[in-house]
Amino acid sequence: MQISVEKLPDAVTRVVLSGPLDIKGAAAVELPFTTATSANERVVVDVAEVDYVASIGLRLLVSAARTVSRRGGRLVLCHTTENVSKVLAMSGLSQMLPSFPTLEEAVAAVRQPA
Amino acid sequence: MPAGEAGANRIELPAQPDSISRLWDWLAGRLGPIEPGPELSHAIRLCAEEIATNIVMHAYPGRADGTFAVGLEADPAADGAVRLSFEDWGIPFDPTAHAPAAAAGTVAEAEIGGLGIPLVRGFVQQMAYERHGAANRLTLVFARGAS
Repeated sequence: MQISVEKLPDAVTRVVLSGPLDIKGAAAVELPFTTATSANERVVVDVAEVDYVASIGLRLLVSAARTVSRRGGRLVLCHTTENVSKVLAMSGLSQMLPSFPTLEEAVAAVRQPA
Repeated sequence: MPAGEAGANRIELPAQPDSISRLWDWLAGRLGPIEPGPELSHAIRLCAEEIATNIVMHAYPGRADGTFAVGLEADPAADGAVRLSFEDWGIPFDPTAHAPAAAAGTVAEAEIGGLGIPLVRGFVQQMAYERHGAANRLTLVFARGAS
């Protein structure tokens, strides 16, 4: 599991995750992911390269979304793969973790007031 | 026979985090010949790892010597269903009696625990539990083409 963080215009942070977000993957990125998301109010998590998410990975995403929300910001996903979309829908978290097909739409969403 | 293999279609593993990925490696090798397809493979992996995670995290509080066993039955010539059976000898736990997680309205009020069992419920066609002596026995059934 790999993570990279990119600063975009308008104080938007793009966090790119890559690999399976399972128990190992979640443990591997937990610290850098939490650090990258907790200090920002406009966060786009790009999961184009995440083809598998288990509940432990969902917990990491929801926990980050909650932290950002408490700061008055928004965290959204973009480029969600079919498997990940299915798990989000099945877990009832699609509204809590909104997903957008393109980076541009995700950026526009986080620039909206929470 | 490699360590942990209890038979061609059954594996016994230590209740330790490393066993979760070992379990999928084992299952993937055995599912190959029955060609489950990407959707069913994903459902089986997710459910197997969620149940295994539950056992590893909760079945043996305060003990490091717990184990669990997983069996795989797949008969494409019969009904095509894939059956996964789990057995552990930890504290009694019936996942079929686990209350579904209530959907939270907003991110701020979200309860982030307890996601695994509802996910399993959503991906399997049948889920059956019995306490047999000192063992928890859970069977998951996946119907081909219905995941």
